[in-house]
Amino acid sequence: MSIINYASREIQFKIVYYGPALCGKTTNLGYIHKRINPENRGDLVSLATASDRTLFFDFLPLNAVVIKGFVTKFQLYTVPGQVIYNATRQLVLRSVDGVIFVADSQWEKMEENVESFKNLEDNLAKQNISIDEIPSVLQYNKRDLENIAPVNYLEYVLNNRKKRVQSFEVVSSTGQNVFASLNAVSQILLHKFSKQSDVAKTAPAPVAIPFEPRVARV
Amino acid sequence: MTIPFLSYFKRGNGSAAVKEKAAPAKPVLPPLEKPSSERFSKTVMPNATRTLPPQDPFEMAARSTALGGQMPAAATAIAPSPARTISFSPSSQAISAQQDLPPAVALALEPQVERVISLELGDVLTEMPSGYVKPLESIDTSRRVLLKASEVERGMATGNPTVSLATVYQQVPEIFIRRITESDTSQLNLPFQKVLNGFASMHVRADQERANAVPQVETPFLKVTLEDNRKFGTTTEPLETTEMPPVRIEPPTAEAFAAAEPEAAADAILKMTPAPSTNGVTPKNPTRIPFKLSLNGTDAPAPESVPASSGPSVPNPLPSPLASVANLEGAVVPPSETENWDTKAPPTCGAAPTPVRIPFKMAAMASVIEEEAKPKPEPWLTKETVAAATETTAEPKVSAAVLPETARVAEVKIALPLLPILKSLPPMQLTGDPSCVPADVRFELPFALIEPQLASGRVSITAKVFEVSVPVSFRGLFQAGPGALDVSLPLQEVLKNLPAAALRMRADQEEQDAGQNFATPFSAKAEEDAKRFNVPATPVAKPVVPEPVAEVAEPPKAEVPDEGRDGGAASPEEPSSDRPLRTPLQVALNTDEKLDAKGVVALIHKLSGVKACAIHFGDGLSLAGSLPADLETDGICAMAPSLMQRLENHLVDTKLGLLRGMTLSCTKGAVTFYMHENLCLAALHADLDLPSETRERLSRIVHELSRKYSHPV
Repeated sequence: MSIINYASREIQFKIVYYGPALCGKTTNLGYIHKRINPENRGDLVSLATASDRTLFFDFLPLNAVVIKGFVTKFQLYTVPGQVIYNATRQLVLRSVDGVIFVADSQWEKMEENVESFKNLEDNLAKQNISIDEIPSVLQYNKRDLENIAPVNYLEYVLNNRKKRVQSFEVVSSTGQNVFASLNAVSQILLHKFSKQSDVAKTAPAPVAIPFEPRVARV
Repeated sequence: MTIPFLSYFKRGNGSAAVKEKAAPAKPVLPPLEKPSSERFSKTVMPNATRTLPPQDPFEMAARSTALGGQMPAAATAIAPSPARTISFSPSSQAISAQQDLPPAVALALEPQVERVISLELGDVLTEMPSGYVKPLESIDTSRRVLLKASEVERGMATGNPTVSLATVYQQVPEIFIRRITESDTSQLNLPFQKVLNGFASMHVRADQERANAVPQVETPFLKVTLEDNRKFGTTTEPLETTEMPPVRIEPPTAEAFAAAEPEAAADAILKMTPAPSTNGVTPKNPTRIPFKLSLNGTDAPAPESVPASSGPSVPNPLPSPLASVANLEGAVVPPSETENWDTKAPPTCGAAPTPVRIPFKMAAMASVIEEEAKPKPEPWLTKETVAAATETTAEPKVSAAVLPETARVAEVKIALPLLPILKSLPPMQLTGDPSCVPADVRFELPFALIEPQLASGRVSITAKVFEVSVPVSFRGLFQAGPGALDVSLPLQEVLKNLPAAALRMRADQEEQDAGQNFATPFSAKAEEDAKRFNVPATPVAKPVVPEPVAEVAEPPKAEVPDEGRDGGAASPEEPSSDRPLRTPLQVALNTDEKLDAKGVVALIHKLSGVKACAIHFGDGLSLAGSLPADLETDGICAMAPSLMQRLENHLVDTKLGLLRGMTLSCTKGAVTFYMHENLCLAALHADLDLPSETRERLSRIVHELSRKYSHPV
């Protein structure tokens, strides 16, 4: 759930990049960090090993636009993809507002993609969140490689649920469609927030029911 | 030359000299009273006591000897502590508090004790070289001096204990004729026997606590220790052991569990306390714990199981429950006695087990595949499976509508190339060189085996099924022994040979509500990137696969093809199940034909609103086209890519978004150009304007064409 600070009129959205190990989550964040104006972003906090395996999470705060008088801030997180770090993934997923699932398009990674997606569903379910309810997009990453599965198969494997989400062909190493997918999930988030605030405005104000004191029977 | 600020310097010096001269004796002003907030304050803590360090024992000794006092033969002294401390509580409280501290902290706070021995001065001076001390007649040789044990004991190993001359001088300086500096390294020999007696008279500290003795348990070292004692004739402290509490041995039946009472913990502890030791009594052998633990800790043979996710079971080197087992004494129990072994005492693997033949039946080869191809129920209970189970028990007859469909799917087979699959097998499953298999050899598998696995990202079949499916001439290359691993089928090959409708997306999908076009901080960057990479920043379109046409009588509620979706439904004549998987270009053009540039032009020509079209490269080279020659559009088609490139460059400065196409509306017709990467498509309108659906499809087609021709594989 987004954090709304009415005093400072700020909204914070938490977007998590999720996916199997070595699918390019940190590369996504690195590219975004590189392209965003330094005035509008914080430092990219990344705890990675020498082999670029994220140990805990990467974090990138972004200051953003003003919507209905609220300054929106985005906090981008990644999770460690390795199977053993599920507790960390659950921790990072807490209070998540939007998810970008990064799938590795390589043939040999299909099974890992499916397992990671199921893991995402499970971890969201533990927070009583359905994957269909939370704003999310799919990234089919590494589209520049040769040994990749066609998009229609990736769609069949990962996006064949009742609710179809937007999906993007991405090359995170060069930045192709990295911002497009982030933009998509941000739009869905802002739309959801805007809709919720509209509902809150149009909801009928509570009406006071006249209270008649009972007359005590003698 | 002008020196800056010289005038100020002179003026300042002059005024200072005048002030010095004319400074009268000023009356002493009373100090200004500062407000309380600006004054420094000092808080005195209540109950603060000052603790001074203990005196140096050598200084004390020197003082006492100077005063003619006597020192004990052996003494312990407290070493000087480096800093003084101020405690905020009475000393008695500090001591009690120290006792309550954790052991590590209490040990650190405990004062370090310096071991010292004392000798008579006469013993020390026996080896004193001449010229250092006064005549012995003038010295009281019965006085005692303290010597650091750590200094003296260095020479004890060689039988020649020594002490530095400076140490002696520090304590009795009055007997020396001249001063001995601390840096003097001269050593003074001491009588060995006297020093040894001094060490022998040392005693342990009085406040020592004895560590709690623990009962002896048989360890691998205890037996060896006792043997060594006998071997070397050494004596050790008698072992303080007590008899271990008796362990009931009963068969693990339900009655035994029910009758078992929890052991009284307090009693057990009392029994375990060591008995008072008696010297010279031969220790009792510790009680042997009368059971063995098996490898898995439950005293039962380890089951042959592996994690569910790691594939089929791996042959386990441990003996199976059917193998012979050994009892506690090591006697081999025949297999016949193991039939009801769960009611007896649990056996252990003591002796070498005899392998037992596991009876099994070889199923008929054809029936293996049928069994595998049968739809398997979910391994867990769900609402649906429970409902299905009740339905099947209530109504054993199968629904007539379902049966033909299932039968149809079961009949469909896919052919896969054998060579890549054999190459991907582990060497232990191969008995020959797979490269001898021709590349065109294929084998067939029922689609029903593959279909349920497609969504999992991994397709595999059991070794038995693979062995049966492989052509007979190459079956010898594969070895499907017991416990053989499943055979993974390469997804690429599977997808290439799938029926067209295999990857059908569900029809009832709902699109995510993206809402209005909010300007996010990432919108501008996304557009920039899209332009830079020359790819649309739009999401992937939903793949369109034609709905399969039911060959059997279906209820009339057959799904109406969605007009809004790309491609629509396939024509009823097309046999959907036998079609190979379509490429994205075929999907965009809704055809199964093998496409080349001319074929694409012909199909575009059939789109609604399109009269003719042409495909060009970015440099103007024509790939294919059907534009009427009388219009003479070759020149404008060649120029169009560069024009669109220029327009794109200017559109960056606008808020119009990305360029999707360029329409030239002329009096005799209209042409719309679409461009992606290095490929340009020109579509001549049949009417004034193109339908929006056609525009979308043309945009997708040019996108896919550019993949094919700009980056040929």
